[in-house]
Amino acid sequence: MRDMNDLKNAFGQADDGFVRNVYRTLYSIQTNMQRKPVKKTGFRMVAVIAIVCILSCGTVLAFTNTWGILDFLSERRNGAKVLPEAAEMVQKDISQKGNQTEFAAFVVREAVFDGKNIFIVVDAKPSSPEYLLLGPDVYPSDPIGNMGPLFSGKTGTIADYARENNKEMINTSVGIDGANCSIDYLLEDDGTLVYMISGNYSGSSAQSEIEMTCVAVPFVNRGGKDVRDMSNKKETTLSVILENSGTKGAVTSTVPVVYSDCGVRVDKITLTGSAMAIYADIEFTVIDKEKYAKADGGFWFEFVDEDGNRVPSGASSGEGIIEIDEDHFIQKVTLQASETLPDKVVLRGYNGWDKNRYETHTFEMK
Amino acid sequence: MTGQKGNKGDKQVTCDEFSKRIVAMMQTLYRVSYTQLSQSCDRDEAVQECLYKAWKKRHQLRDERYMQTWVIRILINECHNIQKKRNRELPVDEMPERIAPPDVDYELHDALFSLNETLRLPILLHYVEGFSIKEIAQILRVPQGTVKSRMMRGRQELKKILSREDQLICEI
Repeated sequence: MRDMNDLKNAFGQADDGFVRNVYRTLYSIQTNMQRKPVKKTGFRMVAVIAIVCILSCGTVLAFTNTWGILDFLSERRNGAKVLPEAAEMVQKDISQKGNQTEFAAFVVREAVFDGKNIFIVVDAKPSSPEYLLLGPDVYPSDPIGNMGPLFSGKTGTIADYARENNKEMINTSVGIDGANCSIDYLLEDDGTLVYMISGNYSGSSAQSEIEMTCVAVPFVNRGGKDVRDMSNKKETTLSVILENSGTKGAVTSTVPVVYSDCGVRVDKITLTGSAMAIYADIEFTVIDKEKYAKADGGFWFEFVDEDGNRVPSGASSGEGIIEIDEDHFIQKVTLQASETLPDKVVLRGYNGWDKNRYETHTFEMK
Repeated sequence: MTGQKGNKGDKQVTCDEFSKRIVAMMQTLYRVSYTQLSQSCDRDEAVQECLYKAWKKRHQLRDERYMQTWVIRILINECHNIQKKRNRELPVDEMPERIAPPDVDYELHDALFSLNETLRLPILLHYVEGFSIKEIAQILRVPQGTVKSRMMRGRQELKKILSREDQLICEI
C-alpha cells in the first residue's frame, strides 16, 4: 500500500551531470566569470535536423567515409558559406589526451578556432563491434531508418534492430566545457558516430586548451522499456590544444537608434569578420518596459537586405540574447562570411512568438 | 567573494552563503526542473539561468528566510521560458519522451508524469518538498484555493491511475 509520501520515489537522485552543472555555475558566480559554463542548447532541434539530414543525404554518405567540418557546413547547415581560406584554418594534427571510455573512444579529427567560435569534429568509435552508438537525442523507440543509409529500407525500431543483431545500444554525448554548443552527428559505415560541435568560445591567445566532456551510457531494458543505465555511465574529459587562427577586422555602428514600437534602443552593432563567418553583436537597452514586455520574451533582431528579406545565418548559430543587466542585452548572431565587412546594415525588430515584425532601421558601419 | 550591503541597509546574502543554500537545495532544484522539463540539457540550462538570475537579483530578496521559495519561483519561470522555446522549435507530439532515472518507482513515476503539469507541480511542492499551501500559492502566484483544487484533482487522478495495481492513501 502506497501513500503520498512515497511520491519521492517517483524521482531519482539528481544525476552527476546535474550536480556538476550546479557546482560549475556556483563556481562561475564566485569567480565572477561573465561567460556561462556549458549550456547545451539546441540539442533537440539539432538532433531533429540531423535525422532529417541523415535521411536526405544518404547517397552522399554511402560514398563518403569521413565527414569534415567543411562538409558539415556545406551539406548540413543550409549551405552556410565560408571563405576559401577557411580550408587552411582546419587543423588536423591535433594534440589531445584522455579519450577512452569502456564503450567508445572519442578522437578530435578536425578543428577550427578563430578566436570567436570553435568548430570541432569528433569521431566516437565503438570499442566493440557489438556496440551501436546513438547520439544524445536518439531513442531506441525511433525508427531504424533514422540511423542513416546503412539502414535505408529497413523497418522497425532501433531497439528491434539492436536485438536482432545482438547489438548493445549506447547513448553518447559530447560537449565543450565553457561554450554554448550546438551538435550535429551522423553514423558512418564502420560504426563511427561522427560529431560536429560548434560553439562560441572567445580567446585572444595564440593557443587555447579546450576541454570536452564525452559520455557513454548503455541502454538496458527495464519493465519492457529501454532506459539509460546511469549506474554504468562512463565519462571522460578530452583535452585538446587548438591554434587560434584569428579574426580579420571589425566595424561598429556610429549612432544609437530607437525602435519606438518595441521599446528598445540599439546602442551599438559590432561586426567581426572571419573566414568562417561574420560575428554580429547587437547591444540594446530597454527604454520602455511596458512595450518590451508585450513581446513576452520573444523579442529578437534580424538582419535584412534592402528588400526586407532576412539575411542568411552564418556557420554558427550564435549565442542568442545575453542579459547584461535588467535593461541591457546583447544579441549575438552570425552572418555568412564575406571578403569585406559591410559599410551599412539593416536591422529589424521581430517577435518570435507571433511573428510580428517591428521597425526597420539602417545603420552606418565604420 | 563576499556580498555587499544593499542600498537600503538590508543585509544581503554572501556568495558563500548563497552557494551553501543552493547546494542544500540540490535535490529540490533537480526535482522541480525534472517535473517540468524532460531533457537533461534543458534542466541544466534552466538551473544555470536560475542561479545567475538569483545571484544577480539577490538584493530583491527582502528576507533570507524566503530564499528557497524565491529561488524555486525563479527556476519555475526559467523552465517555462525553455518550454516556450522548445514549443517554438518542435510540435508537442514530437517532443522526446522523458527517460526515467534508474532508481525510481516506475509505476509512480509514470502515473505522476501522466498528470498535467498544473496538477503535478503543486503535488510535488507539497508532498515531496514539504511546502505549505500558502507557500505554494506564493511560488506559483495563484490563490490558495486554486492550489487546493489542483492538488485535489491531482490526487484523484493519481488514485485513478494507480488503482488498477495499488491504492494510494491521499489524506492530507
